Amino acid sequence: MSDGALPLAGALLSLAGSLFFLTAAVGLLRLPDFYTRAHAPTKAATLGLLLCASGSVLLYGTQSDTLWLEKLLLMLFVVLTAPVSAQLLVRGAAARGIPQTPSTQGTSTAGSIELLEDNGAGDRRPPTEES
Amino acid sequence: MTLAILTASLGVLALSALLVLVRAWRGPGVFDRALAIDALTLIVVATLLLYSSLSVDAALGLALFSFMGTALLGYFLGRGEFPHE
Repeated sequence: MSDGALPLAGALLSLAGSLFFLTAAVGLLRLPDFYTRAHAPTKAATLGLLLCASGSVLLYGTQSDTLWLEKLLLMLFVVLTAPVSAQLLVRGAAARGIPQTPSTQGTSTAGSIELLEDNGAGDRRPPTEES
Repeated sequence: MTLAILTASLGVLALSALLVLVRAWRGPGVFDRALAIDALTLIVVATLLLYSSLSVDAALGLALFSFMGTALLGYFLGRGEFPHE
């Protein structure tokens, strides 16, 4: 790593990617229930990882011969697998009946985001098509 | 200049890892903790990519094992079956 145009661009890309990671962390901390919280690291952290890997390619890429190819493979792997793992987690939570916040169920008043406090043991399934 | 920007981005990554750890600490239920650990693994992968030019293999292996762990946790915590099948 030395001073130049390409490492500077790589460092700026890395800064942008880490800001996306910060967005994902704030969303994971502040969104009201599990199903909305599952969106934050799936999309924002994947984009942040893409930006950070691109910045890493620009930072270190020209020193060795094939490390950029491995970073490209890592980016492709993360893009392919992050939605799959999030989808499996959300389907498992729906099978367990993790409660939803009222403002995403479509029946309550619009715009009220409150944590579900009064939902008992938590074995109520989210609304399905036949119910 | 480059080193300062890189250090700032590593600091922002550390801050976001701390926020994710807060969610993993107080998340109601095991699904929130699994989600937070998944996000924490992505942050560690990005840190490994930015920190050194030789830790790409470790980042690739960590991403692979994180995907396997999260997918198997989501499958087997949800009764081992899918809800609408």
